[in-house]
Amino acid sequence: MEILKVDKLCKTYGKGSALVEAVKNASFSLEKGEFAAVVGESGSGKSTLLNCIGGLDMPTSGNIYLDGENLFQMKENERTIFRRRNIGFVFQSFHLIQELDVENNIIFPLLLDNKKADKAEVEEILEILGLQERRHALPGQLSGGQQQRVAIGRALITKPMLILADEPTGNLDRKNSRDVMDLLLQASRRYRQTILMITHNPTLAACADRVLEVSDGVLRDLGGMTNEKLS
Amino acid sequence: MKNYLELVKASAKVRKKQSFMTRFCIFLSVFLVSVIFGMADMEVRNEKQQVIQSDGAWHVCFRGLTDEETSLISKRPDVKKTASYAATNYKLDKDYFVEGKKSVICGFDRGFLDLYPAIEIKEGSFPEGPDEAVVSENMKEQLGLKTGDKITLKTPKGNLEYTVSGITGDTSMIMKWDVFGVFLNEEGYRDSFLNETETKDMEYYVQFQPFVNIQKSINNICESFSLPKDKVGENAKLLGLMMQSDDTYMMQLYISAAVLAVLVSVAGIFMIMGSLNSSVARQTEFFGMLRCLGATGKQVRKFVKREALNWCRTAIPAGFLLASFVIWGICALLRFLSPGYFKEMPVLAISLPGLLAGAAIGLLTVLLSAYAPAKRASEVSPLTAVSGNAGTVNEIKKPAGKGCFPVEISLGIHHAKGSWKNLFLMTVSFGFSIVLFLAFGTTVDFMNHALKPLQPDAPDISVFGENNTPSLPEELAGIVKEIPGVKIVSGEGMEAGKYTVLNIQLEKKASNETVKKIREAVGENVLFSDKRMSNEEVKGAYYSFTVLVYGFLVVISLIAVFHIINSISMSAASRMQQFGAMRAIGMSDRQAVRMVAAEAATYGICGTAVGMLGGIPIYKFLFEALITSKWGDSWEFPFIQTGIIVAVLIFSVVLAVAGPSRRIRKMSITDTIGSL
Repeated sequence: MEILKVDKLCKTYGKGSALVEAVKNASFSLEKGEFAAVVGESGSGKSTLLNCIGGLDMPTSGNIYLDGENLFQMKENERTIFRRRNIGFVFQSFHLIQELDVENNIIFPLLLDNKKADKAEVEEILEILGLQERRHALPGQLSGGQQQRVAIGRALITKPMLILADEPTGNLDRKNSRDVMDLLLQASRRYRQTILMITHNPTLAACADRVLEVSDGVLRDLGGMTNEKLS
Repeated sequence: MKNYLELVKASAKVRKKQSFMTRFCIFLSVFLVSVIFGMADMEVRNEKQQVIQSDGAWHVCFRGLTDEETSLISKRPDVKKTASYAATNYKLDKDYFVEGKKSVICGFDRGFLDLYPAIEIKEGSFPEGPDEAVVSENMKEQLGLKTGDKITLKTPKGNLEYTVSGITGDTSMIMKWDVFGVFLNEEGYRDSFLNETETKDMEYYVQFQPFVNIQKSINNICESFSLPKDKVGENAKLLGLMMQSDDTYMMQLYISAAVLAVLVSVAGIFMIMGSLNSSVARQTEFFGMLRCLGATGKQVRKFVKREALNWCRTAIPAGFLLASFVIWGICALLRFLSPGYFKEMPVLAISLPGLLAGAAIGLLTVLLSAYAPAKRASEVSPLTAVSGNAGTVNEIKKPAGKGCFPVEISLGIHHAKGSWKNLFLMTVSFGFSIVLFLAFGTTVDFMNHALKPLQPDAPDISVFGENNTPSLPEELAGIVKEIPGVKIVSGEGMEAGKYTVLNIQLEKKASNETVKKIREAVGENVLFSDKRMSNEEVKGAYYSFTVLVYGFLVVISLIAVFHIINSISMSAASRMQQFGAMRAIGMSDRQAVRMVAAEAATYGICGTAVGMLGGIPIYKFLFEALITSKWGDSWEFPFIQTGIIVAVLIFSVVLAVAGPSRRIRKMSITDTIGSL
């Protein structure tokens, strides 16, 4: 079942001689439960692509469909609500809310939706993340790896169909990177979520079902990098 | 770039928005202080001219001096001008008449004209001989006199005849009581009136040179001639306005003005301090980076100071410019409202004391307020600063509870409570404004009690029947009403078709011609009271007090409003990246705006609570001290003032949230989170 469809997506910045084509005519789709990695050099257009898919940035042309819904035919407010219900984000620098403790950071998207969190679900996520003991800690009191785990928990709480991760292990050491990757994979298996992850790390890219490469704004589908352990 | 300090300019270009807000705070403080001091200066100049017009330009007058003594005084180096003067029948209690009308007789030498510019000889010349006299303009008009004519002054001791040598302008006393003024030279007065004068001698008026310590000179003269203090009179108002008086009332007035100015300055200092504090806090990472690159703590302090002075360079002149325009506007308004009273108000004058006060406040505050953040910035460890853990927004110690509010409201409240220091500063400064508002509000009540505003139906001219009896025929009202320039005529004390008093209101365009026609219509055997000049004086006093009181209240409110707007804007600007992240994970812009509004409302509500708790007892105390003790009105809870405060609070929260909301709506999420 197709969850994400990117259709002839273009994104340019600037005008005239300062014009930069960050993404050139990119098209691809992802199936439910698929785990794809986007690789490419710095400045190749990976983050722009991810931001457009997440509805954070407007493409210059082209369309993005999530579960059949065209993201850019929605009004700004509708898109925000759609995003908080259907897309989970994991950023390189975590972007946790410093004023909220671990538990409230995780349930924050639900709170924005004026929904109550299911206690059992929160417990389950905390358990998966190994953060049960730290549930009342503030982000400032956590290590980088723990903070990223909270961010993953926040991305999982609404059970979104798509999780977008922009170099989620970029700020972490090797052990924490592995833990975070395992968590992402575990989650995608458990809840059948589609994951699109930007990474520089070839080892991490090797974990993915599919690898997409962006070079000078042009997207190439490198196909599946067979990884028996994960597939 | 040749020097690391040139980075200041580059940094200002990048942080345009933030540097604009800081500049705006400095500008506002300089503007407010300059306007307050400038207006006080203008008012003093106006008052000084008014006093010179009404009371004269003399500084002190002595009585009981011999001719020899006066001649010695006039030769002193600290004395600029001298003159002799005396008056008879000033209280209108003696029977001096010219053509049946009560008259005041004054005698003085030529020098008195310089010390009393109001006595201006409009036609003719100063009386040369003892049998010549200058007469008031109303006498000329009513008796149809011209220079060279003879007048007869009836005195209890017989008639005196004078030749009219000149005509002078009317004073408000002459107009109000409808009397004639006869002015003689010293010789003429001494011949006939010195024995009738209460003190039996001429008063000797002295004007000192500029920059002389007047009190010291007076004491010196008194000692030299063994003059007792009761023989010395000071032109208290003028000396007071020159700050040369020992008069306690004038000193009290100056002290009150100084206290108000200090209060406004304190509010301005709070505003600049808050602004600099948050702007430097947000730059701590930047300073940390400078430290990493090898800048010493001293260099960082120097950088912050240079940055602060750089802000002053544009903000202070801008404050001056607007202050000058506003002062001109207020002066023009006052002149328009009460041309008589404010006719001496300078039109396009620059107030040096005002500008100096503004500049001093601006510069001093900026340097003082820059010191603390500069110190903090220079002390921060380079590593913590660049790692972003220097507590740039505020170090969070307690998690935000969800409470009973939606999460965005709880977060907004938590943002406000996040830094106790910030919340304290905001609460105190907002509360301070409210306390000032309530405390100063008592002066409105005081003003309404002490200075009765001129009633809308106050007559410009009143005509009283002979000996205050009902002798004015009813038709007279109709006749007067027909005179062009007459607006309303009303009668009082009707008996058998006759009025005791006719009250006449004139139209704005009415001229002296109208008054002359009314005078002709009502005839001779009445008391004709022309109140235009004295009405104008009452109106002027009321207007100047009103403008002062309400102007100050507006300034206080503006400071509070701008402070809230500025703080919220700064706070929101410092959280933009956080807003970006929240927006990315699904916070709608409406929720983001609600979060900012909750923060603003928290400051406002805390400030109002503190302000009311502190202000109401002060208001009650002042009300009882100023009004209850004098007029017996009992204190009541100030519902109107409270209403105004709440309205200002709501207004400022709405205004404060408007700017950040616009920025949140326009915010590019990707740019905002990308900058982290």
